[in-house]
Amino acid sequence: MTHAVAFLNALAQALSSFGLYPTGHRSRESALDLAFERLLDLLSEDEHPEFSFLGDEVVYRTMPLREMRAWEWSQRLADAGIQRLQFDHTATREELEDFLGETLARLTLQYVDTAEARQMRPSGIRFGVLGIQGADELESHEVTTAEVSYSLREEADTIQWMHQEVSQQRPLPLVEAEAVVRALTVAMRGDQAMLVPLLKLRQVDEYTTTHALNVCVLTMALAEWLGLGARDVRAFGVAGLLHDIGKTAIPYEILTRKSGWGERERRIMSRHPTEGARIIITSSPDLDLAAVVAYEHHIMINGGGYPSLKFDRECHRASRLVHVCDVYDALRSNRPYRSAWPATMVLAYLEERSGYEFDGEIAHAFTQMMREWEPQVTPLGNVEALPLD
Amino acid sequence: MTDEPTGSAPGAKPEKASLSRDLSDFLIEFSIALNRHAMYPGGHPSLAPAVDRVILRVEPLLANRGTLSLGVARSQLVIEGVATDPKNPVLSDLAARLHRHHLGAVTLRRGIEQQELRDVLKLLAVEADRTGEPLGLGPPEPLAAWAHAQLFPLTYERLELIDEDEDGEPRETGDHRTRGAQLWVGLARAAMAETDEPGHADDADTDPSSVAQAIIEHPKTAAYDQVIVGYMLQIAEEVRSSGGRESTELKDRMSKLVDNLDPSTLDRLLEMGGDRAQRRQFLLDASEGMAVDAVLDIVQAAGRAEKQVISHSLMRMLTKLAQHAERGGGRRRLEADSALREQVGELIEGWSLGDPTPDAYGAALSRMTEARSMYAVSPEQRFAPESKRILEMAFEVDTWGEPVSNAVDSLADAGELNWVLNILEEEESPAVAAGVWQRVGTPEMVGRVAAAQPLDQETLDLLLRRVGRDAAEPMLEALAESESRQTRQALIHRIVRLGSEVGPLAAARLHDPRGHVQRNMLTIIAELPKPPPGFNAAGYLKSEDGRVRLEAIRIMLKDPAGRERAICQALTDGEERTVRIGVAAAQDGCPDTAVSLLVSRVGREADRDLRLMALRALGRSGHALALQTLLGFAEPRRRLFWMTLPPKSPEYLAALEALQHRSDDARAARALAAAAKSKDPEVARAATAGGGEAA
Repeated sequence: MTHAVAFLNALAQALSSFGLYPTGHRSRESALDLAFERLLDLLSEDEHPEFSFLGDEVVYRTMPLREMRAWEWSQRLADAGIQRLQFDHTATREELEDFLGETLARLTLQYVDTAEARQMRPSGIRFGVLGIQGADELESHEVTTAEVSYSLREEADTIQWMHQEVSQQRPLPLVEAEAVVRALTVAMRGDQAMLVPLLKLRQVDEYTTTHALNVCVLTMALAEWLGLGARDVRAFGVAGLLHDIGKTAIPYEILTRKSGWGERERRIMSRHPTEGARIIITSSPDLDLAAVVAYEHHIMINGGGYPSLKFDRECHRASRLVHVCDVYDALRSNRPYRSAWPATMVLAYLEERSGYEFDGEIAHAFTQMMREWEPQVTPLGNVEALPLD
Repeated sequence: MTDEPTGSAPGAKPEKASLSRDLSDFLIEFSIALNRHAMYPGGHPSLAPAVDRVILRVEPLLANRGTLSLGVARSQLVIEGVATDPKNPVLSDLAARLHRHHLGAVTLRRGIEQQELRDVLKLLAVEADRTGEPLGLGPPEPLAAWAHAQLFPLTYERLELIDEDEDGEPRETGDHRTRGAQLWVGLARAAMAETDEPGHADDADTDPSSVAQAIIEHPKTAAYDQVIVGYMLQIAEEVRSSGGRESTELKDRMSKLVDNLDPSTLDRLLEMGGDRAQRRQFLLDASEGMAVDAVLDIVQAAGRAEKQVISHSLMRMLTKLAQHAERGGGRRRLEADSALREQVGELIEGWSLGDPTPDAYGAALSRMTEARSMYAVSPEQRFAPESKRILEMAFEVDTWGEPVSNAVDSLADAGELNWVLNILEEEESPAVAAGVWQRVGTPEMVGRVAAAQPLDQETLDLLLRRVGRDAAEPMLEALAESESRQTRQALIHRIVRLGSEVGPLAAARLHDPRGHVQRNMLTIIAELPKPPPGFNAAGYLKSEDGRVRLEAIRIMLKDPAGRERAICQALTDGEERTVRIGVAAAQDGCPDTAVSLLVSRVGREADRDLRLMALRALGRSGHALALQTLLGFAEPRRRLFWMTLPPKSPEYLAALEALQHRSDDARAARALAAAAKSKDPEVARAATAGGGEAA
């Protein structure tokens, strides 16, 4: 029990240091070292420690920690969607550092590189929300209507096949991409209202597919919300579908690296927009918009992000739109090591960074749309939430 | 997972279906022969050659086939699965004539003789409207009276079919026979015929499943399949283009028929019937008009016939859309139906390959750039990416491709070539630079820039640096057409800079009768270091256009052999500037033949400057008349007991300068010596070697 308390105190100290000091700063590194040391102490007596943060109460395994009652971080972590934190004896210092970075991003709504946020590494540290009765988060995921009889299995399979084709240097299958977009358009049409059917991640290797489909759906929904014509909506949809196609050119071992990315991996990963544009440009004369979006979807409205442009220009409207949808889906998706950010937190993140990371008008429209349509944003397929309880 | 996505891109418009040349020639000869038999009495000398020509055409066709069958529609013939163009007056007239006889088909067999063909033509030549007895409604025997030819009636005993009005419009009252119903009956009868030829099954069962079964069970023969597909083509077109209850019924029947055909039979029909264009049109018509499951069957069969592999993924997507189109609810059903048909259209549009090899695929992709596709820029697409953005991105990712090529073309069309070329100068991207230059570094682009008003000289110069001498021809063309003097001057300047090799090109354009063209071409030749080999400008010395004469003189002045003539011609020209050029040339060496002309100019020239030039030119001549003229201005005059210098004047000073070239003459030397002693320093200077300019 002493080790658990000591670890939580060290964790709080590390979070404070992470908020104050940049990467590589001595104080930050020593706080991380201390927290990891305490974690190892804890793991030496408990191979799978689990903490639950329930308001001001901290529960270690099934026992409330009296010493930690009214511990200020408990409420903050719970509010950030970290109601359960569990460790495996394999947890590494890098994984702890990643966890602290992620937690800090949630607490402060700092910039999150969605490419990294979407990394599909397994981890010895897992965290997320608890399925507490009455928690609106899980309830909203469970909304089903008669309309949601439209499985997206075929679309997902088609995307997976397209990615395989491209990764094997074959031409980008344009007709198939168009067919997926048409099918998604059909899926979004109900008799009463428009639906935004989103896939829930089931397996690690389905991520790219799921994400492509979700971004496509969100992009088309937002484009339609903004009053674009059918032709634009479909073109935006294709662009959303293919925005991460450049990942097929990134080595698999980097995409699935167990620990966080180093500088080298980040540099390679940040090439995926360029690779995507290259793949699309050389594939089809009709996908110029998709090429632009693949290239620009990680660029912030203030010029930050990547790649850096040689020619000074604003990003295309479609790129700004896909950027918002991309971040939303990245943060709203479950990961092997964490559950999705709560919707309210992702929307707050978008609003917080509106005007300098995101196009203000587009981010505003997106948050409005999602708030209005929340019951209609419908996860499909077998929902497999993080088994937290 | 290795399905080839060869149907993966929208493509060029399907080409229009057409008959082979051999078949087309045969039909036309047949039609001509039939017309002659209708016009002339038996035994007329023009009939036998017409029959011979038909035989000549049909024999090679029958050598390959054994049997040749023509299906008959109201304004079209169906032969080997290809329906003839209803707008072709000869063929539609032939179809109409046979149709008025209520004939469904005509078959010719290998071995047909002149006499048999003559009899067939004679029988068909009798106009059905005139006799009121269409052949198809008469006794069957006359239609099958030959060993190598047969006519087949089109009968509708079992159907409630009706005719159309004479003007071709369906009647609204009475029985309800329409084209759609006729086509279906024709198909049913053809399908159930026991022989290869259509039309035997007068009592054909018209139930789609029965028709399908008949087609499946029929022994595989080309003639049979071609006729069946011919009907299917027409039915698909009819379903697509017409509406109403009957169209819906026809659509249902056709869909059921396709549904009941096994895949191998459908493959067989689509492989045997018609050419590629016809098959594609059939698919497009079917995709718009038939039930979705039938569409999928046809797409798959056509894919096999076309050797186009449709990816498994795409088939799954299409099948899914079809299911929703059939069973989905309300709005989703409509969306799915429309999405499926559009998608099939896109797919078929992409089938433009003869041979699915990488090269052919590349060529097809190339052609597709010209086709309008789902995502092409259109008024509906407000957010298409800007061409500048595409090109900038291409430089940033160092990649060239068709979207970039299209963007460069758009920029050039929009007058933004200067921006493109400037960015090219600044950026280092070999792949993109090579691509851009391939698109814009062409003589054609030079021509476009040179022809634009106002002329963008900076852009033109950037292009010229790349295109070099190949730019000469389009520049000359633009020069010929330009109405702006400023532009012409700029173009001439740049054309001349290309060097003497443009001389022959300019000379070739002298045949253009337009004066300004001749003048500009002569200007270019005059400005070149040397004129084209063998070129003689003398022919232009007599031109009515003074500026043409002027340029011709300038050219001739460069040629030692033509110089004397050029100077003389210039000195007698009516245009002052031409005269001035002649006088200026004489100042560098005055031929004797020009002296009298110069003297004449000195005496009568109103322009003092020109007169002074003429005086100086006379100093370059050794001719006595020249000396005499100069002395007339420069010799001292006797006044009682002393000599006085002529009064100071520009002419006097010019004469003194000129006489310095003749100082070997005693009189000239005396005049110069006297002037040299003048107290007027200007006069004294003019008389001494190296003297200053006259005032």
